[in-house]
Amino acid sequence: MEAVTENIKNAVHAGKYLTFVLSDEEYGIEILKVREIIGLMDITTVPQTPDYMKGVINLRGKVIPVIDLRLKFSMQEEEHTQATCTIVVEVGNTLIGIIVDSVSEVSDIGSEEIRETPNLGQGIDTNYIMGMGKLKEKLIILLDIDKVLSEGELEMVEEIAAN
Amino acid sequence: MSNLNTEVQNTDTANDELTLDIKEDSEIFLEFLSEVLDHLDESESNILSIEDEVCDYEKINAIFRSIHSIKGSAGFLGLINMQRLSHELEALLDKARKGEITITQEIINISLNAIDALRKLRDNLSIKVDRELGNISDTEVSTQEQPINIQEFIDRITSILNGDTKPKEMVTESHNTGSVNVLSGHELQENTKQNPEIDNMEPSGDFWSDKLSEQSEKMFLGEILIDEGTITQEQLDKAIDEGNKKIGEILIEDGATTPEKIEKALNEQKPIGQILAEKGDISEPQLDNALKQQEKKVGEILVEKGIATPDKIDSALKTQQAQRSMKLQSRTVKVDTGKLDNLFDLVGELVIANTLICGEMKSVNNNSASKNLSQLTKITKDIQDQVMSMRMVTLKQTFQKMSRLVRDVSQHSGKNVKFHITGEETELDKNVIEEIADPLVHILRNSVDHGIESEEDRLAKGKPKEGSVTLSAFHRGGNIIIEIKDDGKGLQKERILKKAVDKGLVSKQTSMTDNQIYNLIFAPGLSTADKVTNISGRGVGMDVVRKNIEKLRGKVDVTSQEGVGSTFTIKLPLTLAIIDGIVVNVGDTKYIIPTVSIEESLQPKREEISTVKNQGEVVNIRGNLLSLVRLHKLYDINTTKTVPWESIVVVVEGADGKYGVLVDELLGQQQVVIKSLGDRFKNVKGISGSAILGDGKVGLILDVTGVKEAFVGHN
Repeated sequence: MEAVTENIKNAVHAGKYLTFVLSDEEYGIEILKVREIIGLMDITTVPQTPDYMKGVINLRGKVIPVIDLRLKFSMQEEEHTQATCTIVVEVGNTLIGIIVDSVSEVSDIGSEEIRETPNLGQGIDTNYIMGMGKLKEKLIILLDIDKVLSEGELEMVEEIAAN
Repeated sequence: MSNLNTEVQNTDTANDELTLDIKEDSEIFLEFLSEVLDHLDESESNILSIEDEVCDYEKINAIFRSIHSIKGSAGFLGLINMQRLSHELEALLDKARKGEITITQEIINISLNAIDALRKLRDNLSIKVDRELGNISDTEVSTQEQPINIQEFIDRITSILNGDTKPKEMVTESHNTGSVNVLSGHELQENTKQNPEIDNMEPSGDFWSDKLSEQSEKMFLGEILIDEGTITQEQLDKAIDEGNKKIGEILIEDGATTPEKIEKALNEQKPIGQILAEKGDISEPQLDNALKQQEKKVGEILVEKGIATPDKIDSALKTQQAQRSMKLQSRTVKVDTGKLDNLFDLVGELVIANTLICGEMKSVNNNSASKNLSQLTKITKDIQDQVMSMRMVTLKQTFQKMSRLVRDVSQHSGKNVKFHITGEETELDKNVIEEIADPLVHILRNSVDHGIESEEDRLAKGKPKEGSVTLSAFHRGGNIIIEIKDDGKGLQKERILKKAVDKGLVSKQTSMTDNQIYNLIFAPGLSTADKVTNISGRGVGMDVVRKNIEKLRGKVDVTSQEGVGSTFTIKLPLTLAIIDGIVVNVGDTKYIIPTVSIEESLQPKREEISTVKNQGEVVNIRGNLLSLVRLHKLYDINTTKTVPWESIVVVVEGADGKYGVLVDELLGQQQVVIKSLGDRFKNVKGISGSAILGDGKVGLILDVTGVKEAFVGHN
């Protein structure tokens, strides 16, 4: 736990991760970043935003943006099902919802179970992957959620500027 | 801790050695930061008022106390630089309040500079704390700590302290602060601790015991009488001697306590009343009663001795009462704005839930239930109003900052300017207050630097040599008006017009009213300055001022008369948090158009719509041709209503004039609480924010100027 709070950049931390499924891959986010998990809500679309930016929702009186992680990772968009969840994470000082196929569990991943991200070749951005965790026989992609979402911001600014 | 002072003075390049960990004791640091800021603001305004008016010892005392508190707390936290500087400033103030040195312009300047430096030190700490708590990242350039050389200030103060500035006639006037306090009875401890020696004081104690000594800030009866010239200091001292021990006696006479307890309490060197009340020996009312009797005694003694007449005592007592009640009124609780915002959001949800239930109950038709519901609605509304009003703050601090600014600018430009402030108690939403300071700074700088003429010019024109700038605030019709008025040379109509024509802002033929011409100064690229001075005219023009004010949904206007002066009028909404809006829908999406931007809405006839080059559309409204923005096309929304004469055209007015917006339907008028969409959507054109609508969904607020811009870009 100590290591998680230390917040050393680029270092892979052992600790508790919330795992979730996207397509047939399993991902993990540091549990400390997660505020809550909610079902699907009415989303208000905001115009002139990239397609992964689904819009905004009313989270008990707060208006927060929602991102479809499938679209963010350039995967095929899927019909939302009963299992579809919005994970509310805290990035910087703001809350952001991310839509995932389903949430699996909270798992402890020890440092000995974490491997560095292998180089996947050119064109595949692994910048926001902190590492790969091994849990039982599954491989879990550990996301640096700050990077995933702040990058999104940059892209959006660029996209708007390009218009 | 007590040897810190000596240690501090010996080290030249002292670095802060924090005694506490910022992360672990973040609350102490945050409280310290906010307290220091309050102390500094208060001291600054007190110093400025000393400069303006006759030297008031109560004010110097207040400054001394503030600086002393800062020193104590800084010492406790190990902020050596802050402690050193406040120590020196405190030493200077101590001499001033004892009348050992005369308050000169130099002392006022160095005090203000020292306060600026303390403020910088505080800001640096604030950045450090923010960084430590992870509120800002290390890379943010805008929040770098600024280096401050406090030695420079310390040297200047030391040279004043060592100088042969002998006390002048002020000495005779000066009175002993300790003895005045004694009168209250609250402050018996001051009796034995007159003129507290700075160096003997424990710096650490003050941080928390501050609150206890607040009472001493009241003005006491004796002091008022001296101020009014009714009695002299000696007479007062004598009267005190006779009246002094009365509080114990009164209490014993009343049977409230025993002599032993009084004795013990006196030994403890705390305000006697306080100790007795704390121990539960006497009740608060008993204490108050006794204090009242004691106060009367002082007055009585004075009357008996023929020193003062009963009327004078009465009026002095009234003054005292008024001052006390003023202090009571300003008693406030500090609340973290985050908590307030949360409360805000929750109340908003409560209102929505209430609306939803009311809607459901309408179909049920139950008399008593609907009666109860309307009661609930009323209470909810009241809660909402109250919560809204909690964000309101007075303009006092902002205006005080302005007086410092005017002072600095006028000194810099060598002009003699008298600055008046009225309506500083006017309340505005906290967010508005934060944003309004910049435009005010700009306008005031301009008024002093460009508006007010030099002394010779003024005399030549037959004006008083002292220029005057007035800053006032007041309510008018649901808005707050802030007015900046100067009696300077006024705006030069011809020059502005010529410049505007040169810049191609207006054509030569356009006929304009005087006011329209004056308001051209808010156009980009039009500076009225003859020359660029080091104070103003550096390219940041009045257009920025107008932009900032419009961001606050306000308006700015200028009127002027050449040779007589100019008046800037800023009109602001009371709060930024709520707007009146019309809810419209396009397909499934709901938008809110602010009512202030709407001119009218109508269903156009087929013949009123025409296309230009088969692309652009215009709508003819009573002869006026307005371009038509199809919201569904612009924002790519699916809707079945694509034929203008089956939909609604809302005529809105943006910064670039009027145009029509095509929407499906009008859903009704609603007051909505504005929620920011956050940084992620700041580049979305045409959307200024969002609001939660009656059904719990989020609606987007249209910014009509932005919609037009997006539309023009879109085409």
